[in-house]
Amino acid sequence: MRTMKLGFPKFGIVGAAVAATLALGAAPADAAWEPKRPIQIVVGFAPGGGTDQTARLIASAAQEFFPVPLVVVNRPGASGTLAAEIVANADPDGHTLLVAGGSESTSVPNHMKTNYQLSQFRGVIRVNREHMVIVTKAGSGLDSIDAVVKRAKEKPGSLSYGSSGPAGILHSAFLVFEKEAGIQMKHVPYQGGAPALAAVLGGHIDMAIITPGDAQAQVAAGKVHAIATTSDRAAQIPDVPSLTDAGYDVNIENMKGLVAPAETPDEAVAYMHERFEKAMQSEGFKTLAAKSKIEPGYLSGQDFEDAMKRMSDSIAAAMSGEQKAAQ
Amino acid sequence: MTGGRAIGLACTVASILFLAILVPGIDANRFTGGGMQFYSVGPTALPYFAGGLMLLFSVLTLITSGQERPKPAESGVASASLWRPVVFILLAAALSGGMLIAGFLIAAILFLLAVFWIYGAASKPLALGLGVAVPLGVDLVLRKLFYIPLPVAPFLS
Amino acid sequence: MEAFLTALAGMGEPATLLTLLLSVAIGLVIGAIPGLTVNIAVALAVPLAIFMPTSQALVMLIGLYGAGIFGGSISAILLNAPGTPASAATVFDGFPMAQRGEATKALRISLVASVFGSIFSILLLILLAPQLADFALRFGPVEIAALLFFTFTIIGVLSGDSMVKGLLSASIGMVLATVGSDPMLGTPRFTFGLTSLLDGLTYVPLLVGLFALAEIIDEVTKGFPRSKQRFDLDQEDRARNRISLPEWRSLLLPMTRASGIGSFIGILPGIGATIASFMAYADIKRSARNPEAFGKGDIRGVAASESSNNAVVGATFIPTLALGIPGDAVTAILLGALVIQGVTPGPLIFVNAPEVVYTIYIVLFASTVLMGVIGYFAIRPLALTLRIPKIYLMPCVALMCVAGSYVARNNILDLFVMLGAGVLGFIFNRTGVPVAPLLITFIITRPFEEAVRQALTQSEGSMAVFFTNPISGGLILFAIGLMGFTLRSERRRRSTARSAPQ
Repeated sequence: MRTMKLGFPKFGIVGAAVAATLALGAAPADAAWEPKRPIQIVVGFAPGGGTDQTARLIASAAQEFFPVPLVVVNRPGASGTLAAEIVANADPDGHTLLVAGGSESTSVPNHMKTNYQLSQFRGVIRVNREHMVIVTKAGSGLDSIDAVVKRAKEKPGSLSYGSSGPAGILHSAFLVFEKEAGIQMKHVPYQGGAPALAAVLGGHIDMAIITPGDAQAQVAAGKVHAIATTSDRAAQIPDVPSLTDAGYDVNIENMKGLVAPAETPDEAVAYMHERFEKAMQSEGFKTLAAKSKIEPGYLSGQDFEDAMKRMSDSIAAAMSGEQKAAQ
Repeated sequence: MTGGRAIGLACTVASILFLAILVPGIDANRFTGGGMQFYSVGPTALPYFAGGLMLLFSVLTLITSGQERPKPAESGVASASLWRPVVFILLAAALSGGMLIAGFLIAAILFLLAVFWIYGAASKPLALGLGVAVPLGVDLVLRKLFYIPLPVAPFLS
Repeated sequence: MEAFLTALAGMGEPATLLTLLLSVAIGLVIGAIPGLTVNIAVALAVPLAIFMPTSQALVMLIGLYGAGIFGGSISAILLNAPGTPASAATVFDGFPMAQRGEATKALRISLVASVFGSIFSILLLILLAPQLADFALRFGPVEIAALLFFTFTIIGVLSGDSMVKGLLSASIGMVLATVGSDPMLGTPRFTFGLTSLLDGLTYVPLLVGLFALAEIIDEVTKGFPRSKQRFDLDQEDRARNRISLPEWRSLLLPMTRASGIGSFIGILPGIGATIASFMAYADIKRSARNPEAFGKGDIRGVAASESSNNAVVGATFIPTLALGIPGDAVTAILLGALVIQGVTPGPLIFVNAPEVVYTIYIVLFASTVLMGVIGYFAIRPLALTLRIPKIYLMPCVALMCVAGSYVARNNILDLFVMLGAGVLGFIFNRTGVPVAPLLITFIITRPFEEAVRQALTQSEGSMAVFFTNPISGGLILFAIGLMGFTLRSERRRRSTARSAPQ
C-alpha cells in the first residue's frame, strides 16, 4: 500500500477512499506517489502571453521525466483569478497545478474579494522571476527616482502612472512605492502593459512599468528613461538602480512558478518538485529560456510560497495605509 | 399586438428592472481597495446612462411600432409552430451542460442524432453517419491538431 | 540591400515555402470556423515557432494571421456566421448575395478586397511606418474617446428600416457591455459573484449567437425547408457569378477608402479590425448615391468590410515594428515569438536586425499572394456547401458554434452566453429589430468608457478637455452634425414612404 502521511487535517476519509480507489489498479505495493492521469497545468492567461510561454516551456522540458502527459490548459479571465479559483477548489490529488506567482497570487486578493486565498495553495517550484522597470519618457525631466519623488512632493497628485489594469501587480508596485516614498500620484489603468508604454511615449501619462528586455530596447533607442527596478538590480540592465538602492523598501516582481491546492499530499508535491527541478537543470530548458528572455529563478516550493507571502504582505500593508486615507 | 410592440414592452420592463434593482446594487458590493478615488464618472455612471437610453428607446418603440405595416416575416411566425425552436434551444442547452458530464464527444453525437431524428432527416444512414463522423472529426482536429482540450467524459479519462 | 537579399534567400528555402503554404491553408480553415479566432491560431503556433529558424517562424505566424482574417468572411457569406468578429460587417451584404445564388461572386469580391486591403496597408508599412507610428502616439485617451464617440454614429447607418428600433438595439448592446468589472476601479458590475463574468460577456460567443445560432434557430422554426435556389454549376449560375468590368471599377474607390480607414484604425492601439470594418461599411454606405441597396446584397458592402479588416493586419505592424509596441493581441504574440528568436523588437530593429524587417515585409506580401491563389481555387468548392440540405448542414454548424465558443476561453459560461445571444438574435429578427447596432455598441462601449475615464483622471474630472483638444473637438462636432443629418434624412425618407400609395 502507498505510504501516506495522515497529518493533513482535511485529508480525511474521502481522500483515503479516493486514494484507495486509485491504488486499486496501481502497481507495486512499495511504490511512492505516482500520477495516474494526465497532469493539468492551468494557465490563467490567453495562449501566447508570458505566463503561457513559461508554462509551455517548463511543461515541454519536464515531459520526459513524467510517465503521464503534462497538459497546459488556458483558463483566461479576470487577471488570472478565474484559473486560481478553479485550482484552489480542484481535487488536491496532485493532478492539477496552477502557474502562479504574479498578479493573481500576490496582488489581486489584496484589492478585492476573490473566491480563494493565497493560503489555499502550496508551492511546488518557482520557475522564473521577472524584474519590473519603471520608465518615464525621455526628455520629460523625470530622469531619476529622485526627480520623480521631488516633482511629486512639489505638486502632489500631478504625476500619473499607467498600469496593466486595476488591482494588477503593476498597480500594486506603484502603490507600494507611493507609500514608501510618501507621495501621491494618479493611477490610469490600461488594458495591459503595452498600451501603457505607448501612453508614456505619447506623453499622455508620466510613467509605466515594463520588462527589462523592453526597457533595454527602448533606452537604446533613446525613447525612455529607465529610472528604477522595483526589486533588486536586473542582470540585463545592470546600470539601472533598484528602488531598494534608492532607499525605498520596495520588493515587488512578477514571479512564475507552479503551485498545487493546499491539501495536496507531501509525496505528490515532492514527486513533482524533483522532476520539475530536473527539467530546469536540463540543457534544453536553459537554452530555450535564454532564447525567450525568461530569467530562470529556481526556488523550492516552500521558499516560493514564502516569497509570494512576503510580497502579498507588503502590498497589503501599502493598501491598509491607502484605505485609511480614503476613509 | 405586433412584434415591435411586444419587444418594446418587454424591453421597457427589462430596463426598468435594470435601473431600479441591478444598478443600485453595484455600490453594495464595491470592494475596498487602493486607488479608490475617481473623477466625475464612477462605476455606476455608464450603467445608469445605458439603462436610461434603453428605457427611452423601448418606450419609443412601444409607441411608434403600431404605425408600421406588419412585415411578411411576422405574419409567418404565427402559423409556424413554436415547438420547433423551443425544442432545439433546449437540445442545444442540454449539449452545453451535458458536455461537462458526458464529455464533448458523447454529448455531441447524442445532440446531432436527436436533432436529425426530431426534425425528420430524410436519409437514416446519412444522419447516422454524420451524427458520428462530425463530432469525431471536430474532436480530433481540436484535440490532436490544435491541442485544445474539449471536455472529456470523466469515466473515459 | 544585402539584408533584403538575405531575407529573400531565407524565403526561398523549401521548408519555408511549405510552412507558408500550410499556414495559409490552416489559417483559412480556422478563420472560417465560428468561434475559433485568429488569436487562438497564432497563439497555438507560438510553441512550434520556438524550434524554427526565424524566417520560417515568421512565415507561419503571419500566414496564419492574414489568411485567418480572410477565412472569417467565408462562413460570413455562406452561413450568416462570421468566422471571426472582424468579418461581422461582411454578413450584411455577403449573406444576401449568397441567398440569391451569388455566393461565388461574393467570395471572389471578398478575396480580391482582402488582397487589396492587405497590399495597401503593407505599402503604408514599408513607406511610412515611422511617421505613422509617431502620429498614432498622439492619440491619447481624449482623442480615442472622441473617435469612439464618432463611431457611435454608425448606428444610424446600420439601423435599416427603423431608426428607433436600431437605437433600441444599440442601447441594449450598451447595457450588455456594462457587465463585468469597471475599467478604472475593478468594481464588479452585474457579475452575481461569478468570476467568469468579471471580464464581461466575451464577444466571440455573443457574435456567434447573434448571427449564426439565430440563423439556425430561424431555419429550425421553418422546419429546415429545402432551399429554393438552385446552386447548380450550370451556365446560368456561372454567368450570374461573373463580375463585370464596370463592377470592378465601381469597387476601386470604395476599396481604397475602406483600406485607408482600416489602416488608420490599425495603427491606433486597442480598437481593432472589427470596428474598422464597421466604420468602413458605414462610410461607403453613407457616401453611396443609393444607400438603400446596402444590406440587400451590394457588392460594395462586401468589398468595404473585407478590404478594411485586412488593411488592419498590415497596419498593426506599424507600431509593432516602429515602436516595439504591439498593435493588437496577435502582434503582441508575434513580438513574443520574435523575442524567442533572439530578436529584440523595438525602435532599433531597423538598424539591428534589418533582415528580420525585410522578412516580415516579404512574408506579408507572399502570404497575401498565396491567400489569393488558394482562395481562388477554394471558392468554387466552398460555395457548394450551400447545396447540402439544411437539415444536415445546420445542426453540424450548430455543433461547430458550440465547440468554437467553448474553446475560445475553455469556459462553459460562454456557451450559455451564446445560447442567450442566439435566442435574442432570433427574437430581434422576428420583430424587425436590427442586430448589428447591438454588436457594434457592445464592442465600442468598453473602450469608450475606459478612454473617457482615463481622460477624466488626467484632467482631474474636467470635461473641458474633450472640447479644447483640436482632434477630439473636431471629431465630436463632426459626429453631432452627422447624427443630425442622418435623423433629418431618415425623417424625410419616412414621410415620402408614407405618402406613397401602399
